[in-house]
Amino acid sequence: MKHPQREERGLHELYAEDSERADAQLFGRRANPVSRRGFLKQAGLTGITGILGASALPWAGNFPSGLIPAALADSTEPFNLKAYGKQGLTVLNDRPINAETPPHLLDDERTPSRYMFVRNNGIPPTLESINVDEWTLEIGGESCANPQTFRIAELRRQFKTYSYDLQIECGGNGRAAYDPPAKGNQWTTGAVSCARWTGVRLADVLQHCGIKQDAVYTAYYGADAHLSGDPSKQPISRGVPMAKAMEEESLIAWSVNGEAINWLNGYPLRVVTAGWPGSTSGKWVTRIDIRNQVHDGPKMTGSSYRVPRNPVAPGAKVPNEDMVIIGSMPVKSLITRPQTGVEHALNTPLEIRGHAWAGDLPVSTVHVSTDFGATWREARLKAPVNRLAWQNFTFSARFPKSGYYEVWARATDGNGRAQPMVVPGWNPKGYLNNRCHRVGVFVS
Amino acid sequence: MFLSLKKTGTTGIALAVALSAAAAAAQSGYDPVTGLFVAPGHRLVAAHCTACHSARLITQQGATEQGWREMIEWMQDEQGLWPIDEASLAQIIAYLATHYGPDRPHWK
Ligand code: HEC
Repeated sequence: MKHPQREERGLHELYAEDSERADAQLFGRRANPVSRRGFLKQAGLTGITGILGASALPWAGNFPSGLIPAALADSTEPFNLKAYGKQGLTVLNDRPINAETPPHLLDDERTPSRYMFVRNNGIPPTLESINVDEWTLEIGGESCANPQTFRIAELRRQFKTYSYDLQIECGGNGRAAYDPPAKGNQWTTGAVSCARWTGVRLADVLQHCGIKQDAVYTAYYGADAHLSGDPSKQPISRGVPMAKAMEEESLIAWSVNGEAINWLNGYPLRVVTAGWPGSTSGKWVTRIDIRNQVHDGPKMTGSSYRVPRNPVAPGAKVPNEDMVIIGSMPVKSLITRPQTGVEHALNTPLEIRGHAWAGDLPVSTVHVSTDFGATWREARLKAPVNRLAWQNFTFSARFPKSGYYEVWARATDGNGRAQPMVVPGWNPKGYLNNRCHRVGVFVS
Repeated sequence: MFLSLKKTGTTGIALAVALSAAAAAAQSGYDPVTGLFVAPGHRLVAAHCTACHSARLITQQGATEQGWREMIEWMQDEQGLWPIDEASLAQIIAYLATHYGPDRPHWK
């Protein structure tokens, strides 16, 4: 674990304080208040290229002020959660465990469990206390006609099993970029995964137990304990509207990538409602209710997993009644190759790889820029393995001369909505930051 | 301020920003157990705020006095945080807003 006593101070930190001041301090660049593009004065140009070690910064004039050169942005050392079957994750909090995946470790088309991010709201049931054979799932609630309880083996026997590649992203992925700072774990880009989940359809199980006419919402309950240790409290209990619950890809899952689910990701049983905030996909699930009202469990209300109904100014105070529950996540993409800071030979093409996803929607195109957004070219984009899986893109980049470049990727969803280049609308809890991802490349 | 950048082959780059003497001295001023910046009020924060979660949830934040007050009230209303006497609360909020304010002097 990185010791809190740090001798070094990351560039991130300087930029987080005041990006324009940091720009001025480090590079002598000042923001142009009109275009928000930085003026790279000769001194600044020498400074920035000196730091990056590149002989020139092509398209220097396009380089926006207030952006850390991407080659420097991801320089924090990853930390090891090996004891929990995790590898290379960056730990944001150790109690409860919250850890994200560096972009280059998300390169696989299917995220292996060891690279899957962890967002825990409470304390998971101890591994020793979990008996897979005895684990039960109770179905009930006001709008359930025939409440019933199932062992995992009974779910497998009584219902058809399905497998889907499903992307799960934390609603707060990207929170760290909001200014003024938004409350919660400061995720950067790594609270996302896409893996092959196996289980039974939530719809099949709920229908078997009888969905009454007045059903509105589902509610999951898990075996994780509240941080206070108070057994009468739940750390989190969320759900989705019936329409989302009844989708073919909404699962009660016991397996991922053909293996048992990692303990930190919900072993032995969890809900997967892909494309919606990860918090709707309950872990260590023991009960699912069919409710006759919008579920009101912990983290359904107030400002949790909610955003302002209308856009607000950064830092605004938003009354609870003006906050609405987040549904489908917005369009987003991630560059997983090369790793930022890579050195690349001039005159050879550089293979760019990554993923794009758009909540409930498909992604229609991904565009790539290597000149700080001045021009964009379309990447090759694969169809999803199935609905709600992320889509893989590739792009072959060429560079006209040596120097420091950035590769930017921008996805557009099936409704024509594209990712913003800058951080989108501020909200009190810092959700839904889907700005473009960037990596730095040194060409020589 | 001195900047140095080491290139470590194709695996990436490590950046170290060595701080001025004053700031460097402050870097060693963190409580080794909680990671909280050592300044008046940090003991109260350690006592009231690290029972349920580690202080890393606190040191990630940057909030104003009002923001900290609201977070604490939210934990009292919904997360089982106990009542804190006015004098201690005032010190806790002053400490948090000063050292974990929106300019995030100690982030990460
Ligand atoms: C009785 C248990 C308890 C105590 C004591 C406690 N907290 Fe918390 N705190 C929580 C819970 C539960 C959460 C939600 C954790 C999560 O979502 O991961 C939380 C979350 C937070 C967050 C993140 C807020 C957000 O919006 O996500 C901060 C910051 C925080 N606590 C600070 C403090 C401070 C400061 C104190 C001392 C005044 C304190 N906590 C004491 C239970 C507690």
